[in-house]
Amino acid sequence: MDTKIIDAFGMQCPKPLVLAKKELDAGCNDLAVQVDNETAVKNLTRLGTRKGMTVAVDVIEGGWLVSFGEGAAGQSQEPLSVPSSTAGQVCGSYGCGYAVFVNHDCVGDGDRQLGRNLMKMALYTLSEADDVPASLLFMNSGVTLIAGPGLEQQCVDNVKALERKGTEVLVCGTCLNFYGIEEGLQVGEVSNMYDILSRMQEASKVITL
Amino acid sequence: MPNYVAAFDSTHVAMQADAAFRGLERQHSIIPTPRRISASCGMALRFEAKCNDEAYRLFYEAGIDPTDSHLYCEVASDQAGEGMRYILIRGKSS
Repeated sequence: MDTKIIDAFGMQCPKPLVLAKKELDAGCNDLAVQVDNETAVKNLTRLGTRKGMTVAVDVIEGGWLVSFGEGAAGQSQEPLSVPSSTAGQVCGSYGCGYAVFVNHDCVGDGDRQLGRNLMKMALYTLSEADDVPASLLFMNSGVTLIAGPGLEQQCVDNVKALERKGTEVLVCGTCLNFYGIEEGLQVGEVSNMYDILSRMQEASKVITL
Repeated sequence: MPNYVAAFDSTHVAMQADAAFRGLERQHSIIPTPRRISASCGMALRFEAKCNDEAYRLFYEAGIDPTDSHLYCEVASDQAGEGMRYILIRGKSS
């Protein structure tokens, strides 16, 4: 079977992703997409990985060729030229995914235990959904949910499930340091204000829990 | 091991149940009450137990108020795309 090639040069996110998803959802398992921006490379790679396909990325004149094929889940290759700081949001038809911002260790004011339980329920619900956030961002006391002696194991487990589904989890390093729990981070990547704000700016919406 | 879901008619009872399970050091999750279960409180407990008898026993050991709680066993639906079903094991007692 011939490889189906999509020329997505000149197209900005989310269009390359929408076109690729349409073909893959229709059963195409030999697809290649030509793109000229790193965001599209990251997002297409993430799409292929989620669908359990092999993903190969090759540098071509003017950009990259992202190729999808049948294969085991989780196999993907990215060229060394794609910087790790590139936003890795997943784009949908209406924008570039959504971000969830956890800046407190409980939801709302009032009873603290109720607030912690609400947070557990919120993260559980997010982890069970099909439409997962592109990024999950932790700052201030929010970091204590997933690091250190006061962490909530249910929250850690649910955030790990989100990571497996493709959500990028960024945790404020300054905040971890403030609480003295850098060594105790159980899930996610230590990050900084620049990257955390960058995810918020690129998301189609930001939900603050 | 099967999963069981305890649903409540009162948030206070739900939170007491959570505290009791933590006191028993029994692993469990706080989840939103599944849509298929009718209960007044939106907070439920989900936990594993070997069988219905063990689930009952845990319920009683935790001192959960039987007049305000229901216990369900979670099973996979045999209808594709339907998610989980919940079989009532013990309803609210008067």
